[in-house]
Amino acid sequence: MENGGGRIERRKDNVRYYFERKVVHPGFFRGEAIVSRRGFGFFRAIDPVTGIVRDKRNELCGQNIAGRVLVFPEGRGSTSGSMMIAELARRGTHFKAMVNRKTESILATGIILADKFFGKVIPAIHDFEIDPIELIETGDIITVNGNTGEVGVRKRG
Amino acid sequence: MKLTTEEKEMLAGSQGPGCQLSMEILVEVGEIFNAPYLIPVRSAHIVISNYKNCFEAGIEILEKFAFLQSKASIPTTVDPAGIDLERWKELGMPQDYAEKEWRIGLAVKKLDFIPCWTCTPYLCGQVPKVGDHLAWTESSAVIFANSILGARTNRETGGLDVACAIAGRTPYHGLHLDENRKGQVLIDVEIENMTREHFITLGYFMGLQAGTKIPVIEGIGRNSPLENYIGMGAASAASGGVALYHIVGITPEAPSLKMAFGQTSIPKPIPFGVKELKETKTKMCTAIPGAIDAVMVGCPHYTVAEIRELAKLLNMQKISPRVKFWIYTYKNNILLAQRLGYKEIIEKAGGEFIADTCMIVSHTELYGFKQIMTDSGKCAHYAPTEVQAGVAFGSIEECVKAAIIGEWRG
Repeated sequence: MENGGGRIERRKDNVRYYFERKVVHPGFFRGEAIVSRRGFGFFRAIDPVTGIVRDKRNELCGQNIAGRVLVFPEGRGSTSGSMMIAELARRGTHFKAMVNRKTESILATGIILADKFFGKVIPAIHDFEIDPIELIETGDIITVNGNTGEVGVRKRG
Repeated sequence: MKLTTEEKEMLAGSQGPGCQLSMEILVEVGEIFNAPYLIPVRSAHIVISNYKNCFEAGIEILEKFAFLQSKASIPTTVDPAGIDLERWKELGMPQDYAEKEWRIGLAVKKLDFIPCWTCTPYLCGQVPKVGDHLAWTESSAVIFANSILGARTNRETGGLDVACAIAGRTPYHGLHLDENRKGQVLIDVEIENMTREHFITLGYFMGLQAGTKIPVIEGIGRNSPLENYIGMGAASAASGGVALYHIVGITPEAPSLKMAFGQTSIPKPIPFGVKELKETKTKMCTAIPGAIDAVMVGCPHYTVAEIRELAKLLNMQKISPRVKFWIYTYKNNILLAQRLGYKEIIEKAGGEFIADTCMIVSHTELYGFKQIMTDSGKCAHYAPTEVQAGVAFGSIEECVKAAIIGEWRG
């Protein structure tokens, strides 16, 4: 799980990045990224019915995280945040994959509960040598392979 | 992760499917954090205890564990519920909220968790010793256990806490290890004769300064009542994410400044003087001077000593009829207050006791309060979002004064 740092492949019109790091939770998903440059606290931050971020202090306020690859540096806030992730999964308004600079217990627990109790697999990878927050922008197409620990980035446009 | 023979069997289902599921969760979390093994814990404290924080998902998680016939294998207490379980109706809580709380209560009973419904488990028989490993949630209880009692617990998360309670173990990482418990920030208190309000303001300041780092505090006396540390820790765990602080001479691991920091060199101290005190208090208040709708105290839950102080202040006084004065506490403390005669004094003045819950985890937003006042740093931090009201922070004397005149004068 810990092998590899990262590699960058430049192709004709876009740059593809691949990097492999530590798996938080297995699974596979490819989809559109939504990026928060600041830490993300789940507690009371999201409307679980829609997946729209409601916390005015959150830079993604007003945007919908449902069905997307959520990319942010680290978790923060109340330890009940794991319950919000579980509730999103229960309702099907959850993010479909997660990429962090460094994960912590709220995020890890939330994602494990989503799988064990509500059957929603959210692949998640963290602890990179390349900073994913600098590389990935909202709208990029991200492949998160939680089975191999590989993240692929296809730049938007 | 290295597991004992017994743990391997638990993971294979030897102690039933609930324990197996708990072990699966613990092992997965442990591997993410490179924990070498699981450590047995003496007690657990659970934060899946009210609908407001844990949603339908949390209830279903508890019910699933109960359905699987799981039981706590260690003494396990629970955080406040979302309602006063007896007086919810007269306090204006809707039936559908109450029904959610009953489902939680039923699952808690089936799981053999102790239904104390308090954020101060250490005041209701759950008393850890120095060096005990615990699996506690509730940031204000975690910081108290680590810093004052010298026990060892991470800020466990909702869901993981239940798995710990059933399996009796937690991943060995973070604050369970000596090397992760050393001081990182130094705060030098320049104020003499610190009052409770000063301690709580210091806590709030400390959280803003330290974030999730470990602060070391110098310059405060050793003879403070317990409530000062409870309120200070709760404030710092809310404004930052502090889970452990050292007070030289009080925290068991910090008999000296050098011991508090261990191998690392002692950093430049951050002063906490009159200027910082004033600035912090200003930050804690979002209300504008003027009418208040309620005074809410008991975050963390009021102790008997605090109820006594309040009874002295409210003796023969009359709270403005426009102002609610709510004291949140652990159920047994109300019984003691009644036996001591404090309850009668406080109620005569217009105050009201609310058991099992608090202003943060109950649906206080339903009351439509515009401005409230509190003596709690943690409440000051959370009230703007949880009560959805402007908040004024002050000493209990200031709270009583404001309640009587119906106004906070800033």
